[in-house]
This record gives sequence, structure tokens and C-alpha cells, in this order.
Amino acid sequence: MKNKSFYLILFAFVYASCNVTVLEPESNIASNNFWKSGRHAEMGITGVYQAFYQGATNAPLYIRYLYWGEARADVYDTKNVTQDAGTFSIPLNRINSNSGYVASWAESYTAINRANNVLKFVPLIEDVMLTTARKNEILGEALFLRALNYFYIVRAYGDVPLITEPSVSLDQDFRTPRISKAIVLDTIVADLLRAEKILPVSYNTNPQTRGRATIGAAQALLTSVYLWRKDYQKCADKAKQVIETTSLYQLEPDYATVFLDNSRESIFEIQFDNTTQNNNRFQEFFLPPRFGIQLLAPAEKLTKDAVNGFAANDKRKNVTIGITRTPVFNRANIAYVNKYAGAFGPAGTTSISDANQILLRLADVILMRAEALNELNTNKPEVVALVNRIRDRAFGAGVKPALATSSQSDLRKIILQERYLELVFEGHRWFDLVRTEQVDDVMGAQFPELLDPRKWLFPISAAIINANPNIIQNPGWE
Amino acid sequence: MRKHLSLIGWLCLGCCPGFLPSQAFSRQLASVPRNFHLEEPTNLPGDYKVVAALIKGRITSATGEPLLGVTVLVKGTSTGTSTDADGTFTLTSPENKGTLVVSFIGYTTKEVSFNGPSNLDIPLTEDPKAKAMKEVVVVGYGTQRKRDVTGAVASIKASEIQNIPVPSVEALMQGRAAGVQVNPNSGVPGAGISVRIRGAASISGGNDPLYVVDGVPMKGEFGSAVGQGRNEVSPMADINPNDIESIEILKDASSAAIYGARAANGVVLITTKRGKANKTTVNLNYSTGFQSRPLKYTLLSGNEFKEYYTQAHANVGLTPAVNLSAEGYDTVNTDWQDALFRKAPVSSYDVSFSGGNEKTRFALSVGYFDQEGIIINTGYKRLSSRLNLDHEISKKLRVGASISYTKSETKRIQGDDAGVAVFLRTLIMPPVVPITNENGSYHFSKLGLLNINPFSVAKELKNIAYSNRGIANLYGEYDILKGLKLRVSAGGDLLFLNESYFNNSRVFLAANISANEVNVQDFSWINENVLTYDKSFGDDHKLTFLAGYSQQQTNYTFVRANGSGFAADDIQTINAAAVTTSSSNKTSNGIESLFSRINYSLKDRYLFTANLRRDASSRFPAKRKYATFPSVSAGWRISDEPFMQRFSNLSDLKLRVAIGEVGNQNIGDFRYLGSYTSSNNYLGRTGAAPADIVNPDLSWETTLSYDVGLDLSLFNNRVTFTTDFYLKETRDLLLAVALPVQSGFGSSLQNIGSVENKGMEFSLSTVNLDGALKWNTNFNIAFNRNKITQLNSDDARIIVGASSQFNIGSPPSIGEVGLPLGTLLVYVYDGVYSTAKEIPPSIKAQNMNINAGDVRFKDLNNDGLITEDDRQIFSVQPKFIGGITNNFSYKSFDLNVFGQFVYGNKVYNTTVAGLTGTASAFNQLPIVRNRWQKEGDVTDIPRYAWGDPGGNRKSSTRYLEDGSYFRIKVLSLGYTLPSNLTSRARLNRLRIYATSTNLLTFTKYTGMDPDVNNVGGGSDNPIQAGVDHGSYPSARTFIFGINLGL
Repeated sequence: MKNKSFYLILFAFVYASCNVTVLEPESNIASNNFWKSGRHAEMGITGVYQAFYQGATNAPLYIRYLYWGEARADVYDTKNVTQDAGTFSIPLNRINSNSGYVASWAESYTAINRANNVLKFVPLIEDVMLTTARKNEILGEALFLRALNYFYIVRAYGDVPLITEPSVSLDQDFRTPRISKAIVLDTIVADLLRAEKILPVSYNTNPQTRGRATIGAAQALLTSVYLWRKDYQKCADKAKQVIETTSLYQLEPDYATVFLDNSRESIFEIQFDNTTQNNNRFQEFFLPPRFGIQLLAPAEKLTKDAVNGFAANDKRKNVTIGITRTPVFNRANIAYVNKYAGAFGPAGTTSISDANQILLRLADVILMRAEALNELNTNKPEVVALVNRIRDRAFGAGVKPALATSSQSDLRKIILQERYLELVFEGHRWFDLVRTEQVDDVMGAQFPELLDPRKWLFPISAAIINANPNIIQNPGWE
Repeated sequence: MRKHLSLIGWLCLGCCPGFLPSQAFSRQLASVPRNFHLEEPTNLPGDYKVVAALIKGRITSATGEPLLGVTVLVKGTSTGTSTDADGTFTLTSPENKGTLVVSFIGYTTKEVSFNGPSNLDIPLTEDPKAKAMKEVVVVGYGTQRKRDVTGAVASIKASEIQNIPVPSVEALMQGRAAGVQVNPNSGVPGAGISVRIRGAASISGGNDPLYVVDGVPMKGEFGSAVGQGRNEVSPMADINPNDIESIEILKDASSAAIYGARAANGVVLITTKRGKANKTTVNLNYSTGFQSRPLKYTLLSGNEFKEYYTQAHANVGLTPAVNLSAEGYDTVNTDWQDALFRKAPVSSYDVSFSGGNEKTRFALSVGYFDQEGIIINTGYKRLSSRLNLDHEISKKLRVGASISYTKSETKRIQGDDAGVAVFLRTLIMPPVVPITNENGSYHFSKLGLLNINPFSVAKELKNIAYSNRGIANLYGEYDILKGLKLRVSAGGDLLFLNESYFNNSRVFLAANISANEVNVQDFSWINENVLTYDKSFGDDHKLTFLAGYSQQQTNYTFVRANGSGFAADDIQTINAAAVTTSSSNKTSNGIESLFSRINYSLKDRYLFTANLRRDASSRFPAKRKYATFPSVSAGWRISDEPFMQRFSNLSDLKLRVAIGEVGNQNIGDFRYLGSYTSSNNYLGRTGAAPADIVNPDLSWETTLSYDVGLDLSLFNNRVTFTTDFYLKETRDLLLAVALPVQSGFGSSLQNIGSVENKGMEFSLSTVNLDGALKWNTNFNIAFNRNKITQLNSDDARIIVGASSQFNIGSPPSIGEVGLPLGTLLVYVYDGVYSTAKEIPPSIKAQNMNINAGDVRFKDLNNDGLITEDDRQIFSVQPKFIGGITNNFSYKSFDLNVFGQFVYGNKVYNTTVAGLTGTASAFNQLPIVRNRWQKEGDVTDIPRYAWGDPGGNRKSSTRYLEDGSYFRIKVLSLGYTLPSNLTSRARLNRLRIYATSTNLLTFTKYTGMDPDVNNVGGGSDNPIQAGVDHGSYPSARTFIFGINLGL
């Protein structure tokens, strides 16, 4: 009897046991179990937006937009820079293929890969809870975000690898070479045109409407892409569509209001929020040392030069630049970038700001239309009128003499300068100088190496080239 | 107390096991069959002849235990009997006068004469040869006669490691077995310990061995969830060392292959004490004592510091940012070390009961261990209990259990190196800064980086780990046929860990009261079914066959809650926080295995062992899930060959050869699987994003190992010598390989690269004196050479930057093909520029701030500049490691001296780098008095220069020290009360003892403890090693104890 029971116990152990090696992760989702439902589609698209926050401490993707778009230009102080390393080295134009912060496009491809996943797998989801309309909107959002990210790197690096399929398995070959920037720009345009058709006009809340891809956002981005391609008519037309969407987009009468989150002027801004821990690091970059390390301070040209910088009565000056009143570490009157002050978390929890980062806003679109029309040279009065809309807000109507008709080349300079003052610290200046081929004229005196237009592109990180021998360094940066 | 290393030489010489001639030992074996007593005695009492004598007696072992079944014969007759369970016998001798021949297997046969009826007490002594013959070692899934072992197995016996005031088993293994390198990660009581058997073989797959306690594989490590650097709790500390019967270390693939996929780093088998069938014994052990710091640094006085502070600024044309007098810093002379360090008590209480009868045996123990740390507010307390039970249901069926429960509490300081680095800060705090203000509140220094008060952190910060752990294993064993046995066991290891952290309002200058609460539940269960078949064919062939099936699964749950913005210190739980965040996660893994082993011995001379294990692991993808690990080994007992018989002093000579493969699956769970993680939020919506890319080829790390060994015993086993030569080639290393970033992924875990370890090991045990004064010696030494033989490409370099706390930088470590794991990259220090003219113009051009009095680094590539290319590589690996134990006993006294040594290793002394940096507000060692002060001074200590404009603090050979040491690890003196006294007190045994650990260390190393493994930042990457980044030193301990047997 005893023996029988013993065998019974043994039998129970051996045969009744589950297969211990067949397990599924509980705190992750196995990729073969993902993209099965409408909820997955929503999670997936949110993940693409979240890629804005991804990256190293001093170089998450949203900061790279500023590094690429502006940090090398004449907007940041170079005189009082005490170090030649990391972020400090960018305004000094002392970058090379080892400058991890500016030389890498890694985070862009993180975002692009997430978008590629959405674009590949969401159409395959069969879930009655996911309507065709919503499915299309999600695809539109992914197309917009992919285009946005390609547009940044194609402007920064020129030719880039064009990846439109998701990376799923190590079986794939990732050693893709760079491809002509024209082809990349074609893809961006095609994506945005498709997105424009399937995106919604707005979402159910204002922050969603300003923080997620909409028709307006796609059109504003297209405006910018066309301008970059010097496709002036298309640029002007697309800008017009945005400008005429007055139900959603209007110039704020008060310039300061623009930088409070999600203003009426905002078309697309990256959302930051202290309550959900999605806060930014701008205070370390911009605010005076009381809050951390001031990595980037405004150039003296902006603060002190009334001809090349802000005029004394320009209302934008005090909104754009702050000056410390009380001494900080024995220094008083430190100028700092004031566009991203934001709110601070509850005392003792965090001192990291939550100001949104505006990527596209109406004033930018208005000035882009002005620039395109001026290049077309067919409707000078409208060019002047567009620029005056921006000036009137800055100075008050009639305070500064309104811009009168002048030559095409004068207007070019005026528009560029107006963009500088209106949009400074928002990540446009370097791209503006490159687009208008003014880098050498504006900055060549201070940085002779910029007389070589090859240096207007960014170097590609040595680590990227090491990991993918098919990537060839940009000329001049070898 | 630190002397020159040459003392080691003297010491070794003094302890050298000079063999002394012995009296002739009988090599004769007791040849009476064991079951003799079961047969009818041939001469019954009453069947007497003319004259007869009734002889009674009792036969005991040397320690007084009664011996059952001892054969007692009247010499020259066939009259005889055997003893009963009490050891007593009665026989009637045919002659009135004569001699009894008392023989018992395993004991030296004794002749005792009698004259007339007698009542004799006869103690038998164990026969050394027979003892050697029957000595068994625990091997995977069974035991084996030690003499039949054909793999490389080292044993540590209970007697070697008991009653030493150290909480965990790993620490006790240090120096005891050849080829086992043990480094405490921190001197914090109960902290984790790194163990490397025959060198590190993996870069990212973990290098700790598999621990198996009474058949249950234990979780070998769990990281602390509250960032503690390397202060994580040691999971092995949950085993009370006083419960341990033996530790076996399976070093080569042949012995370890039966553990397959988890055996690449070796296997440590821990066997706890079980009951024996005899009278119940009760043992009480109590010890108490204290611990003290091994060394106190002499540092600059307050006045000297002021001079340094002022001069350092003046030398570079700066005005001090802090006016010392204005801050009241000119009247203070704080001894920060004395404030933080203390003499700390350590106590241990153990009660154990064991006994039973033929049917049921038990061992029950309860222990309490209480060790306070030598830094205030640190310590370790453990309550442990264990019940081991064996019961015979029938002659064929047995059941039993091993059950233990342990509760412990570990009080830690904020990382040695991570977080606030309390210990490092204690050393660098200037003496001019007071600990408290006049009003009793803590003082926070105005001196820049030093505004954290190490005393307030140590004293006020609550940082405790509470662990509750139960381990149980139940078994049933059934003899199916003669020689065929089935053993089924089921066990579990349940760990519940709670880490509780509270940062009160007094800890830091800016009061931000916050709390962390972390709960970890880790449960693993195992079922094993093993069939063993023992069979002898004739006298020449012996066969043991073993086959088994095993399955094990581990489930891990982690819950964390953080709270901040507390209003006051009273409530320390998170319900009182203004802002809370929390998180949890779960993971699991499983392994399923089939295994078998064949032992075959031919004529007891030719021994063969073959192992085969096939594992399936949940950690690998379907096509790589299964792996097979084979091994074969052979032994040749040369000493039993006829042609060896003329060497009469040779007791045993055996040659062993082994080859086999073992694996390492020690990577995270589900790493092969492409996965999405959630919590990627945007605009208040929760997103998901790819976390890992599918690696359909992710597979095991495999170690192929070869071992050739020799076991030699001489002079009737008075001298035993073992040597092993080995080569371990580990391939398919799991490495994070950089992917082209346009994939959207930075890197992925892939099987690339290989590492080689080769070496030799020697151990020697001798019985030097065997008279009234007994002296024996155990010595072991091991040489290991390690190198990386392949990485993802030939010129791939893995450079791991070390952490840099308050500008005290450790050098980076480098991994490259051809280099050993544990290689540092440092500049070569070449003294100090005596005059400004000595500075080469190119160096001056490179750094205008370099002046006379700054450090001259060697320009190795002669390009006129000091760049990263001028760094030289240095291996920190020791040339050899080992230990030596001397046991003496004389009458009732016993003395144990255990020394342990490491030779030829390098330690980068980051601590001293901070204390001689001459560039910041850190206190300095008095050696800076010899600094360069004026043009023409010839010295090797650079000038005082605030902010280090000359770059003197670069990690250089200036701080790369020889870490060789010889340490008197344990010194123990005991006195056992004579038995006539103890028996009068109705005691079995009473021993009192005094023990000291870490009593003396002979080393040239200038830091607190050369025995460190702390690179900073909490890394356990084996590429990084040999850095003393403010490590919490091991304490010196003195205890007194009493051991009572009832």
C-alpha cells in the first residue's frame, strides 16, 4: 500500500506539472502579442509621441531639435562660456564626430521606428472597437511624426538612411546606407500629403489639439518642407490654408501669451506636464544658475544691440530674455532665455519646468508665406502686410513705422531678421540661415570655419559609422 | 600593525609543514565482515572448557561514543562476539588469561590482554587509511567516496568554519579552498560578497557560482532596489554557518556538468547537519565580542588644513570663496573618523538538538546573530532556525525534510560609493568643519561640495533591509530493487525582502523628507526525481548509474512606493507623503532538465565518470531553448598497481583527467523576446514602445573546461597533496552589441566573444605532530590567468568609465582581446616638475596652467602631449591567492591559525587619491607636507593648487598600489574541560574559546583594506575590478565564546 502511494506521489509530480519553461512576460508585452487590439493601436501611437522625451540626460530628442535647429547659430552667448565641452561647445561651433549631443541621429530613428511599427501593424489590427476613421487618424499621426523626425535630420545631416519598415528582429540587416536627401524629402512630402487627408482637424481638448498631429500641423509642416525645397508656390499655398484656418489658429494679441501653454497661435507643441512626470530640462539649459546650471545664455547681440537685436520698444524683448535681479553666485544681471519658464512642481518635489516646446505656430507660418511670396516676387503688398502683422503685435500698431514696400532683396533681409526676433530660441535660426544661405555672411566673421558651406551640415557620430560601415561621413567632417 | 611583506616569508617558513617521522602505522585492514554480529555466535556462554573467564566490556570511539557491532575475539581461539548498541559485550573466554582482539571496520585493530574475569573499557582509534577509504564528499545528486572522485572537488568541513563571527558562508570560504577567490563588496555586515571559482568567465552573464543547499538551488543574488551601490544584501547570509556540515566546491566541468546550464561559474554544494541515531545531544554556543576598524587615517589637523586651504588658493591667484574665520571654522578641530567609527559589539547564540533512533533522526537548531557595524547606524541581525528530519517508514522507504526559516535585518549606510558615500565623505571632511552647530542642529559645511554632513547622513538616514526567507525541501526515497533507489524531492525557496528608507528633516541641508518602501517577493520551487543504481560485478567491476529529471520555476514580484513632501518626521510610512509614486513588476523563469551520470570503477584502480545534462530554459528562444552539457573524466589509481607496491610510504596516488562543458544562462528573463513596454506616456495617455528587438539566436554561454589533477597521499595519509591544472574556455559570451542606430535600437544582447581562464592549484595537508601535541597544516595556493580571447571584432574595446565622486576619479577599465578582465587604464606618474624650465613647451602649450610643482605624466607615445593615448594598461588580477591553516592541540587546548593571502594584484586607491589631491577643500594626508613649495623643490607630491589647473588629479600610477597581502584571518584558541570534570557536571563537553578575525594584515597597501572589490557606482562588471573607491573596510573582531554539549 505504502509503495503504491509513493508511486502516486511521484506520478503527480512528473505528469501533473506544467511546462515550467513555457512562460510569458508579465510586465512587458511580447511583440508577437502586441498590435492585436484598438487599445494597442492607441498605446503604440502614444509611444511615438513619447519618443520626444527619449535620449541621454542632456540630449533627449526634443533638446536635439534645438541643438540642430538653432544652437550653432548666433543666438547663444559665446563670450562667457567657461567650458568647451558638451552643450557649451555647440554655440562655439566646436563640434566634431565625437560630439555625441549633435552628431547622433539615434533618437530620431527611435521615433521613426516607433512610427514605422504603427504604420505597418495598425492596418492589420482587426478590432471592432477600432473604427476605420480612428485607425486612419492614428496612421495620420504616425505619418506626421515620421515626417517631422525625418525633416529634422535631413536638414541637419543632408542624406540620411531612409527606413520605412519597422525593426522587428535581428534577422534584418540594419546596415542601411544614406540615401539622397531629395528622395527623403519626397517621402516626407508624400507622407504629409497623405496625413493631411486622414488627420482630424482637432481633438476633444485644446492640449490634445495643440499637442497632437492635426490637419493644421501637417499643413504647417508641409509649408516648412516646401520652403526648404524652395518650392515657393506650394509653400505659399499651404501656408495660406493654415492662415485661413482662423477657427483654430489666430495670432495672440499679446506676445507673452504665446508662451503660456497651448495658445491660440500654437499649431504643434511638445507637451510637458509635471503631474505626469513628463517634464523637461529647459531650466538647466536656460534659466539662471539659481535653478541649476545655465548651459545656454542669450547672445549679447540680442540683449545689447538695438540694431541687430531687439529694439528697446520691442515687446518681445522682455518676453524672450529675462535678467536676474538679485545676485546669483556673486553675479547680478545675468541674462537668460525666458521663453520656457513654465511652472514648477510643488515645493520639494521637482524643480524641473513643464513649459511646452513650440515646434509650429502661426507667426512662423505667416513669415514663411511672406518669404515664399517674396521669392515668387508676385505679390509684394501681401508680403509687406504679412510682415506688418507680426510687427504690429511686437510694437503695437503704429508704434514702429510699418514696413513699406521695398526691394525683394531688402525684404529678404527684413523677413529673415523678423524671423530671428520673433522665433529666437524656438529652434529655427540655424535652419533659416542655412536655407537662405546666410550662414557665412552672418557668422563667418566670428567662426571662419563656417565660410566652408560643407560645415553647415552636422558631422555624423563616429559610433554610428563604427556600427554601420555603410554610412559615410559628411565631407569636411572626416 | 602593518609590516613589510617579507614577514610573510618568515611566517610561511614558520608554519611550513615539516614532516616528522611517525611511529609505524598499521596498514592492515579490518577484514571482518560488517554484519558479523548478525550471525549466531559460535561459542555460546556455558559451553565452557576447564577454566573460563567471563569478560565484559564496553567499546567506544575516541570521543566516547559507543560503537555497535565491534568484533571481539579471544586471540588464538574461535571464541568471539560483537557489541550491542550501547557498545557493550559479554563473552566467556576458554582460558582465564589471554588477549582480546578488538576489530572494527574503519578503526585500528586493538589487542587488550586480560587476566581473569574482567570489565574492560576499550576506546578504539580510527584507522587513518580506513578513514581515508570511507571519507565521502557530496557531489551533485549524491555522495561519492572521496578517493573515487575524478573531477576537481574541494571540501570545506564544518570544523573549519564554525564559531567565526561572520554572517555569511561565502566569506568563510575565503582562502579555504584552492582556486576560490572571495572578495567582500563592502564591509557592511551582511553585505554581498563576490565569489569567483577559477576566475571570472563572463562579462555580462554574472560570475557568481550556483549555490545548492541540501539539494535546493538558491537564488545567488538579488540587487538592492534602493540604490545602495554594492551594499546589497547577501542572499547567502540567510544560511547560518553553524548549521553547515560541509561545503563542497565543484570546480571543473566534470564535477559540475550535472548542473548543466547554471554551472559555468562552478557549483557550491552546502550540506547542513542531520541527526544521527544515538542519544539526543544538545549543543549550546554563545559568543560575544567586539569589532574595531582596521586602521585610522592620520589626516591634517585643523591648523594645517587652514594653511592648505589658503595656500591652495593663493598659489593659483584666487581668493578663497569661503572665509574660514568668518564661518567660525578657525576654532574647530573635528575628528570625523572618530565620530563615525565605533567599537561595535557582535554576539552569536546557537542552540542545537540532534539525535533519534534507527527509524527517525532529527537535527533542530535555532541561532541568533547580532553584529553591529563599525560605522554608526549599520548592523546585521539574523534569527535562523532549521529542522532536518529523516524517517524510515519501512526497510525500503524513507522520507525526510530540510526546513529552514531565517529573518534578518540589515542596517546600511548610503552606499560606500553610491549616493552620499558616507565613508568617503568621512575621510575627506575638513577638520575645521564642526559636526553640529551650537544649538545642536547639524552643521552643513559652506565648503562647496562638502555641504553634506556624513555624520547626519549616517546617523539619521534610515535605510534598512528586512528579509524573511523560508527554504524547505521534502524527499522520499524508495529502494525498488537491491541497489536501485528512487529519490523524489520537492522544495521551495521563498524570500520576502522589504527595504525601508526614510530621509528625515535632519539629514540634509535642504530638508526634503522622503521615503521609499520596496517589497520583493521571490519564490522558486523545484522538483527532482533521481534514480540511482549501484551494482558490483564480481570484485572488479563497480557501477553506479544515476538518471534524473528536474524542473524548477522562479517567480519574482517587485513593488515600490516612493513618497516625498512629508510635513514632519513622525510618520515614516508613505501614507503621510504629499506626493507619491509607485511601481511594480513581475517576472519569471523556468528550467527543466534531464541528467544522468555513470560511475564505473575497474578493480578500484581505473575510474570513469560520465555526465550528461540536457536543460531547457525559458530564457532562450524556441530554437535555442535546449542545450546539452556532457562531461567525461577518468582516474587512475597508480598506487594500487602491483609495480607500485614497493613504495610502502605511498598511501594513495591517483591521476585524474576530465573534460566537459557547462553553461551559463544568467541573463535577464525574456531577453530573446521582442517586447513592448508600457508607461511611455504623452499627454496623460499611456503608450507602449518596443523595448527589445527579437534575437532568435540568443543562446547560452558555454564553458569548455579541461582539468588534469593528481591526488597523492603519503605516510599513511599523514601527507595529502592535490594539484590541478585547468583550462576553461568560455565562448558565446552574452554581450550588448551596438546595433546600427537607424534600427531604432541602441544595442542588443548577442552571443559574441570568448574568455579564457587557465591555471593551477595546489593543496597540501599534513599531520606534522601526532603525539600529545598535535599539529596539522592545510595549505592551498592557486594561480589563475585570465584573458579575453574574442570580442565582436578584433579591435573592439569595451571601456567602462568609472564613477567620479566629488572629483575623486577612478580610472576607466578596459576590455580588449588579449587583456584580462579587470584591467585599468591609467596615466603614468613621473614625479613633479621641480622647476618651470622642466616643463616641455608642448605640454605648456597644451595647458597654459601647468606650472612648476605640477605632476609630470609620462608621454608614452612621445607626441609631446599628454592625451588619452598616453594611458597604460594594468591588470589588477593577482598572480596567486591562497590560504594556510595550522591547527594545534595539546591536552585540552586547541589553537587554530588561519592565514589567507593574495599576491601580485593591483588596487587603485581612489580614497587616497582624494586625500592627496591638493586641489580642493578635502582634508589631506600628512604626506602633503612634503609637497612642492618653491622653484627647485624636488619631491613627488605636487603643489597646492585650488581647482587643479595643472590636471594633477588624472588617474595615474601614483595611486595604483600593490594590493598583495597576508592576513591572519582567524586566530582561535580553545580550551576543552577534561571529561572527568564535565561528566561530574553532567555535561558531555564544555569548550571555551577566544577568536579574532582579521587580526593582522601584512601589506604595503596604504588604504584601509586591500581586500576590496568596489569600483564605485555599484557596478559588478568583471571588467571593472581592483578599485578601492572609499570601501567600507572589514572589521577586526575579537570574540569570546563558550560551547556546551549536554
